[in-house]
Amino acid sequence: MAWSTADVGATELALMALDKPIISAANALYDADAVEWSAAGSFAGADITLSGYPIARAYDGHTHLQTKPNAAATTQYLLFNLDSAATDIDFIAIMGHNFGTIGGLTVTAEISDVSTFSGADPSTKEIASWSPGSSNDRLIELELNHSGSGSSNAQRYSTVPYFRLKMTKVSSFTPAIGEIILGRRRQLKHAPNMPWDDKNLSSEVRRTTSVSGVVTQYVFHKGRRELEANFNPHEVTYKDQFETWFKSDAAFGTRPFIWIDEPSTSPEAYHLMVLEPEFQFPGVGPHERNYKIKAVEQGPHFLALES
Amino acid sequence: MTLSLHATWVAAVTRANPEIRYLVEINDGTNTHTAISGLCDNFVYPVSLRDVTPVSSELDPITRQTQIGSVTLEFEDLWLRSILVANRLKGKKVSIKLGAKEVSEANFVTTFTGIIEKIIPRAGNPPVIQVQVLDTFSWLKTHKITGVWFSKHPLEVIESILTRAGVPSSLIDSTSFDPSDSAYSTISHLTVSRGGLRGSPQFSEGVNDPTEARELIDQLCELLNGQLIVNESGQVAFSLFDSTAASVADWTTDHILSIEQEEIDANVINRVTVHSAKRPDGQHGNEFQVNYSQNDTDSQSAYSYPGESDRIYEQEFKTEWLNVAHGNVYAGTGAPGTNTIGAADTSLQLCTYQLPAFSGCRQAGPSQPSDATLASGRVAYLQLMGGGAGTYQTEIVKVTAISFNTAYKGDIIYRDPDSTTDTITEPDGYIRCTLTVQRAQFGTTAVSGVKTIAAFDITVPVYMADSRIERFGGGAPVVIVTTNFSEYDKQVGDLVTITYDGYVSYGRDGLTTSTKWEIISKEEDLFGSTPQIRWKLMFAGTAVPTKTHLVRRAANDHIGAQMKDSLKNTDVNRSIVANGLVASKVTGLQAKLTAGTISNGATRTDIESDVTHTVTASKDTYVAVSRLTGAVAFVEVDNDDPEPTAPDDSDYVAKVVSDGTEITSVDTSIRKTTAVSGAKLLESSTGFAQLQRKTDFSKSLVPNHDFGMWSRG
Repeated sequence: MAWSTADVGATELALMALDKPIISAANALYDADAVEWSAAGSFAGADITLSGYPIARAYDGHTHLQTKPNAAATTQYLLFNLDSAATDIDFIAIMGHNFGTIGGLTVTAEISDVSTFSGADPSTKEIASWSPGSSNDRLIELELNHSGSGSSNAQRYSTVPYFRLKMTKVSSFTPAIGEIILGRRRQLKHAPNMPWDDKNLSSEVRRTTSVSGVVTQYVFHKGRRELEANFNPHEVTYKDQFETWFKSDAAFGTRPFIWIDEPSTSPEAYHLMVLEPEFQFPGVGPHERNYKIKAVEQGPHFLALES
Repeated sequence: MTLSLHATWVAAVTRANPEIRYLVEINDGTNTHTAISGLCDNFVYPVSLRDVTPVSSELDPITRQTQIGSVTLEFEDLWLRSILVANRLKGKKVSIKLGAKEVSEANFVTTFTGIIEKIIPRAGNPPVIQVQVLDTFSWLKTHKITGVWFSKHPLEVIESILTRAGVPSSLIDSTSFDPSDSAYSTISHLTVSRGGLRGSPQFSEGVNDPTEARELIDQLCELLNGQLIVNESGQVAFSLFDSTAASVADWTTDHILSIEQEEIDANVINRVTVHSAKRPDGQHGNEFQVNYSQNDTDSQSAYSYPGESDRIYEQEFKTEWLNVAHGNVYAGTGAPGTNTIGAADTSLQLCTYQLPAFSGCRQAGPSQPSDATLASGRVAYLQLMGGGAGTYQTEIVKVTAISFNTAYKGDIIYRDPDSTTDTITEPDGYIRCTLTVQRAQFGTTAVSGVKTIAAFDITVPVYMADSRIERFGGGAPVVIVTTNFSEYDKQVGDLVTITYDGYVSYGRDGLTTSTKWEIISKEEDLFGSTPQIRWKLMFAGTAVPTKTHLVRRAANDHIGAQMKDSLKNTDVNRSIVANGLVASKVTGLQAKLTAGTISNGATRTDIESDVTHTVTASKDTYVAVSRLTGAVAFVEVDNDDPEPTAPDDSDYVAKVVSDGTEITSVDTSIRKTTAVSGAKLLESSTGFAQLQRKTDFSKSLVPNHDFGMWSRG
């Protein structure tokens, strides 16, 4: 089935422009049939995934386990056969990479209906691009679009058969990627109820104190975001959104999810969170329900530690 | 010895908020798989190491055995699963390294190296895989070896054992096993051997039965008063206990998280006995021939019950690494066996094919290493035992210098349990030397009135006893101290001082830097509720007390001496050749003694292989075989000189005469093959006839000895 596209809903875009939070747990890569590193950029070529660094690490929910190809090259491809993904794609996030260490990379995301990603095929389109420079910070693109879409609005792609990430540089390099998310956003209507702490951070330390009072703190991790967000949706659309998000996107709270505080102002300041796997959605009014999202940031790459 | 840590490591770990990291490498034989416990600034590996159980090492300060034990690692299932599916990991190597977030990978320090023993997947949330790793030292227990070592320094033997046990050379710190290193300047002359000389079964064979490598190494560490450690590169190294070494740290209340005293009068040793020179199996009850004891009489008196004179706390050691170091001592002048040893003699000759087995004589030959010799601060001790004319004598002499007689050399040929040809030859070893000695040491009486006496090397036993008596005579209390990881570079065997007012023991109200403590246990726990290192420290001070010394011989020797005196081939041949032991000329000056069996009337001793020997030109060479040990000795005198006294417990089986170029005759008539000589039989037959005629009851067929003495053999 060929991929199709449509504008991300106007209401969604308007809420995004107002910096209402976005949550997303859906990842089209979970539907992937075949994945591989490729020198040729086509499924017709050989799989050059480095042994011991499987592709599955790109969508295992961990950012520290990386996948990489087995040889350096000036152009590297990471190919995904999404089998006409049932999951829509309206943003792409990349974490745990070494693009900044490599430096001078151009990274593009492409979709196609053909496994060869032939440029001659009209279905092969670039939908996002990045120039990370010298930074290894996380990447995101919330406004996917392709030439010939006929719209300047962010696009939502459906039933995408093939996806690839293309990385190029004038000199040979070996990329490494911890996590890729081809996500479908859930745009929230409101920010969390007050009191709302969007600055909550924690560190894990164990303290020793000598006889004379010298304190040493052994730091195991630092700067982890802790999220506790309360919502009171009353419209069916948004109540259904939470429920679908928890049950379907997050697989009943067992999958990590993306949380974006201010998707318009600071889209790159997103967190990969691990959810408390419990859905309590009590009714608190005639139509109103209460839902609390409780989650901790997935380590070890915490947003607070990035520049 | 402390670990050598990079400055960035020290800076990162010793600050108030260190971000410590473990790095684990699993080597599957082809690839190395690496995981870390937290993100690092300078390199990237999966952060898949979830837990490391406390890594600990412990030292027994008396036997110097080091135990490290096992460590359990816990990995994310997600990371290790694919590696586990593709590789058999049991038996593979693991290295655990410690560093910090900002430290480069090269500067992480190896804290543990071992072998994977168990792998246990654990379902859970999240699922993990536990890997149990045995340390290298434990692995040495699973490797058994055989071997012979002749005329080696104990350090050389330890290194040889490590190699034979399969420890790669890259994991051995060879410098620490080099006796010429300055750290060993006072003990470089010590010599040990394990080996049976071909044709002359000695007090004990080599290591013929497969034996745990660790067991053999522990024996040698015990001799040296040192221990095996693992250095910062993961190599096995040796560390010698030295109470005079500088302390590597002074721990104050700033460093100490907690401190706890154990029993204050623990580990009292005021008598040390070292048993050495063990008989081979089947001979004389398999006893240790030499039993040297040293007493700290100050301590024995101090710990005595009121009204009693002493209380003994004894530590015994047994070693078979000195079995070969024995021979015969003669007067310092004249051909061996011609002159009588005088009580005031300060020069003695030592003659034996096993001469290179003596301390100070390691590799005695034209190329003897300088560190193998005696020198200032390096002396040897011999125990002289034996005697004649009904008087048993024993004396300890101190040897201060050795002068080899380079004219007398011999090939040392011994059995190799690993060799199909059954021999290893050490060529051109000196077999005769002149000793400069101080007589009558440690309260013994100088030997006199004999032309030869058996000599046993007790240099190592004296060293072992000194080291323990001087440290443990007043006891060695233990304290338990915990610190944080800033003290990580200290290792088991290092000396530290503690400044702490709360301590109390005999003579000490509080601790200051004047008291040194040896680290005997180190346990690091990063992932516990309180990251810390737990140290066990033992008092390391030494003092030379009032000492007495005691040398005791094996019980059977006493009886043997008495019997020898009364029965030595006078009334009945106490020693006979049961078979073989026939000497002949081979060619030129080379003679051969065939294999055979000698009997002392009670037991037989086999000389299993032929013995060849090149005699000196223009000499009468008497071939002696010990009826106790089977040792073959060649005693030379000038042509036509009187027959020399045979070495103790030995009898001549041949006389080889040589001129200036070759052997001219071999007389085997002196070889005794019957207990009663023909002349005696003839005399007895006359007596028997007289008995029959009942005319002279004074004659008898054989001497009428006490039955009990016969039964004892």
